[in-house]
Amino acid sequence: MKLGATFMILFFQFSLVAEAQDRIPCITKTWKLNPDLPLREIKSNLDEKSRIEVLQLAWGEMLKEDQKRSVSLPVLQYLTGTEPDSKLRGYFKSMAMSMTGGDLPNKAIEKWPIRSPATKNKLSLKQLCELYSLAAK
Amino acid sequence: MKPIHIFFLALLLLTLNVNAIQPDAELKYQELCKYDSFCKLLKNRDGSFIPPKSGLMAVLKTLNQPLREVAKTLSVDPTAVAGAILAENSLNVQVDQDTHDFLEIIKTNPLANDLSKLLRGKSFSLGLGQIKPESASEAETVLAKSEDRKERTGEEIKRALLNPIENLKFAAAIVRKCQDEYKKAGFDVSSDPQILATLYNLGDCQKRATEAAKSRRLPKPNYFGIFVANYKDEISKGVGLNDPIPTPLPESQTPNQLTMGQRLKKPSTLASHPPHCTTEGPGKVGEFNKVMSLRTSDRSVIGEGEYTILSPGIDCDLKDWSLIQTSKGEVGWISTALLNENSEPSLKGGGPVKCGTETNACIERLKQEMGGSIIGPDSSGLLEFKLVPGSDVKVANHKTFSAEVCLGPERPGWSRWSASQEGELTSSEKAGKLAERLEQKKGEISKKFGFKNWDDDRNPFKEVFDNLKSSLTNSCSENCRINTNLLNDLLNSNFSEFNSFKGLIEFHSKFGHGWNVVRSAGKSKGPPMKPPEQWNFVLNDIRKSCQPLFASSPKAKSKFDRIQEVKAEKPTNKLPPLDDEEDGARKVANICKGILSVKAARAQKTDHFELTDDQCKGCNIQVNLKQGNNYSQTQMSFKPMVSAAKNSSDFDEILRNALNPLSELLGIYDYGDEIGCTYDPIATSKVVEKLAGHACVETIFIPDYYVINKMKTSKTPTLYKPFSSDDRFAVKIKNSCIGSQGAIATSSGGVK
Repeated sequence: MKLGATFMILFFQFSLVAEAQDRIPCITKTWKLNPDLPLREIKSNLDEKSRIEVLQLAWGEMLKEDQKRSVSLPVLQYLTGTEPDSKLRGYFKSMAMSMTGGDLPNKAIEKWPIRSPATKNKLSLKQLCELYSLAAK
Repeated sequence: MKPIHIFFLALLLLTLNVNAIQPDAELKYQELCKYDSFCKLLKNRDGSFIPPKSGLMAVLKTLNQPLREVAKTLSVDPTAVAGAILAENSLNVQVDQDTHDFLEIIKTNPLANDLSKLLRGKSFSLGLGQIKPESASEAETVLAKSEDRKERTGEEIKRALLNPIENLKFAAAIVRKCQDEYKKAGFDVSSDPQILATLYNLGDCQKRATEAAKSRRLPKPNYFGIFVANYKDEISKGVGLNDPIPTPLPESQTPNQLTMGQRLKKPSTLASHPPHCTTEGPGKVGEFNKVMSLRTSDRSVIGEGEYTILSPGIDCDLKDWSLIQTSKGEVGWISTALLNENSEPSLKGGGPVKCGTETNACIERLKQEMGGSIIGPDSSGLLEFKLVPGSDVKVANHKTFSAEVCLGPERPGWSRWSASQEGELTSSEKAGKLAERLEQKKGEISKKFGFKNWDDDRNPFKEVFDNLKSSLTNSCSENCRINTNLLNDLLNSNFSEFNSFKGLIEFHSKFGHGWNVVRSAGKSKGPPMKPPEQWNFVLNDIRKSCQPLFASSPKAKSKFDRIQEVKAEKPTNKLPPLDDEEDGARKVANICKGILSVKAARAQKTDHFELTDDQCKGCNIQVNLKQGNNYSQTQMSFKPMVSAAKNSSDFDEILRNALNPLSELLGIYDYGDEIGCTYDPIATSKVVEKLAGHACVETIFIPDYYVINKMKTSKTPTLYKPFSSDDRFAVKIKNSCIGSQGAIATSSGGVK
């Protein structure tokens, strides 16, 4: 009984650790450079960041009130174009579509730095994270 | 009538035939727009009417027999069924499978509703007729009855929708259901394809028919209906609905194994990776990737026929690229825009799928032979391997090795950076003609700007032209890819636009690789290497030689004048520092110092590179790099830039546009930084070589240009592929099934 309980506790602890490791910290990052940089410079900058950082940057930029000063759509396009998993690509595309009213991120940045009309993402950070976790499962 | 007139008349008639649209189309369009805001979907941006998709028409023609059979069985007009399907695929915007996959997995989550609202009610439809599963479920009763079988479950219906023949049946059943509902309401719409297509698009026929019974009014045709009315004859002809005998399915097509696919309608070049640009590369170690953005797509194949998309990708401008595999086994990258342009829907498969039978045995064999480096199969079916970890020695990581990837063993002598990695296949003859035109343009420019000759120090266009010409004449042999659009743009440019500093910056960003940066590479031992203790000798020299140059800049001059004024007014006043020329010279010298210190650090820690001395003198920066007999050189001269400056603000632009990119190119953001190595490219390339010779391995995908280049001559294709984790590459096992398959899902339209 005692051994079983210890095993259960260990198992529970292990599960918690595993879950914590799977989950990406639900925090935002913001773009510190000129938001009108050419796309290749934005890409170059994103290349230097870890995947998690780019994702958190996407969340931060999606939630920015002033989308005219946001790089949310190039960041979502970057994530879409470098994501092998179809469901996660769908997540990034849906996020972009929900902000532009139906335009996919590649279309929304066609005339960059002239931006497609886009509004701040209506979902909360918690919701954005939750949807990402579902797609990443 | 002359033969040429007959030819043009025939051509005109042919064109008219291809775009056979009813003569009253415009009138109908105007009328439609009075009550249907979707009317605009009928036209292209240029105002012409959107015709039925020819590729889909061909698919429907192949399905001519089953279409006519089901139409007969269900007593519906086949033109209405074919027309509705064509309208759905020609007019409605399609969204890919990715979004569908995502919404599928979140559909039970409460957030799905919120998101669905944000996506403005977009929902998803499946297969040939883009039918929503809910609409198919309603029509299933009609189908089950006509086929005398039990009704299928929701999942079975979804699967069935992916089979084009089953999908046709659902489309016909939906039309039949609408026909029946309206009949009950007292309207016979069975011989009116435009109303049937309208109802197919609007859906909810039972409710609509009840309302119609009350109001005693039929619905007006919407944009679907007008599309079918406009192209009724063309659809009947194109799909072969009036042919005396229905065309049977080709023997190679097995009806119950068909799916919708995509095919390349013309041969298309597939490259080993998307173009990578001067600023690519994760970490502060992308420097030589950035320096050397020579073409590396040496391994290219021509793909045609059916294909499957294996992976998405992006180029340096975030444009979409796709890694595809054709049914003949050719694998490679193509820009997604070009892929869409060159693609048309096709019927896929039939016959048993020959894949997967040896995959598990192969994975076991590879596990035994390759040890612990196997990670396992990824979600698309590729077998992933770990890149061989780097040693604890801090060295430049794989991105650094892109300098060599540009230097193919077969390249004789020097080759220069070429116009673009994108472009069309161009013959050497065409390349030669373009080179001649460049020469002519050079003459015009010299005359226009009053240069003594082309090599005049004041000529800011020289390097770009020389590079482009060199890429045409030196590197281009048969079937090289040249961005003729860019070259034509250059040749057709009015150079008066570039007669300002701002204009020159624009010129260089459009046609060059950055102001006055020359990159070259080739097979050569290069200059001898100097011992590191001698490397600093140039620093004072460069500062000395740069100072007068920067001091002569307009801003420095104006500052000097200001100093003279201040002196004249109040000799005791503190004088503004005369630091512009100092700054410029110091920055150039510091960049050189940075290059040297980074290279010296590398030379001590790795044997991957031999370093040559860097010539930072005469206010020029030249970075030489070599490994073995491969040699590369990056050169930057400040003189033409400074002499091209027109006013004082240009001076800042010089530093911003020239020094900063150069320092970025070389990855010297902070001289004190160490460069980390994520894995060992040399050791990894050995693993890849072993895998390439393995009987189980068909294709290798790796995010490393160095390895791609090393494997260029291997029989096993080695191609670029991005991975979301930095630590891996993957192989395709022979005869395994990989990649996204099948159905086209759309977001808008469908049966509503």
